[in-house]
Amino acid sequence: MKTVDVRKKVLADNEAAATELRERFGQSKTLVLNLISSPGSGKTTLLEATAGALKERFKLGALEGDIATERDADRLRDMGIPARQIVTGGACHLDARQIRKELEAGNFDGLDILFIENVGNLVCPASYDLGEDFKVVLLTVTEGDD
Amino acid sequence: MHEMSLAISIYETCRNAVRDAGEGRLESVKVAVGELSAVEPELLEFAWEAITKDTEDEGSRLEIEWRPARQYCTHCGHEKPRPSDSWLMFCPDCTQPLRVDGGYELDVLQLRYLAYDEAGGAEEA
Repeated sequence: MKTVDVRKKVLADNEAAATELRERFGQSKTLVLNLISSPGSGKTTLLEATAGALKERFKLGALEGDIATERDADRLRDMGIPARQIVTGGACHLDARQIRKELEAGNFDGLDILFIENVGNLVCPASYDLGEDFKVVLLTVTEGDD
Repeated sequence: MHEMSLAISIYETCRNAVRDAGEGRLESVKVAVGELSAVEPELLEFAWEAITKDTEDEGSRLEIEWRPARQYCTHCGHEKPRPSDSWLMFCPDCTQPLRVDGGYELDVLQLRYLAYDEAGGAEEA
């Protein structure tokens, strides 16, 4: 019987991708925000209002995560904001490797602000670094106060 | 949390490590799971069994080392113990804020495997 000291984080691959993204965003001077909340709290609505207020002064972009629909990205594209939908098909969080792949596929160069709207879930997204500057958590009154 | 995808990640890490070491069959894998990692050890064990079933590594054990989160008073620096499954919002002695150390671990620590050349006539499943 042989022993191997592995000493590797389970989420090591995500962390490596997140570090790479953070470096890239630093170089392009892009502010990156990771929006987290329960489903239906109003992330997309908040994003629409924010984008509306900023789009004349800043170059904005959005990556939308959802388990099944394209609706979030459509709403932002209707406002003239470049947006790509990441349909996770069951995965309950966005992963840095997915973000990296989407940025390579889409036209997201030279953004001032990149909004990443995470999958509606308050548990898993907290553990996955996406290379963001800030995580923004949205909580609604109807979810209770404890 | 999504113990199945975490178990898959652990399994891939182990398979790669065994391949690099010269191939064999997993016997046990030791992982550290932190109190604040949102991982249920029992569910992780079930996921491990499901993933390794019908593979050469079927029957291998996932040994989970629980890592607690410790809360320390920011004023006096001492650890403030608490009952398990509870959380302190502030220091019970001086009501100052607390800082957290540990509890976020999610690491593959070590594995044990039976090398195929060691096993002599052992065949791959």
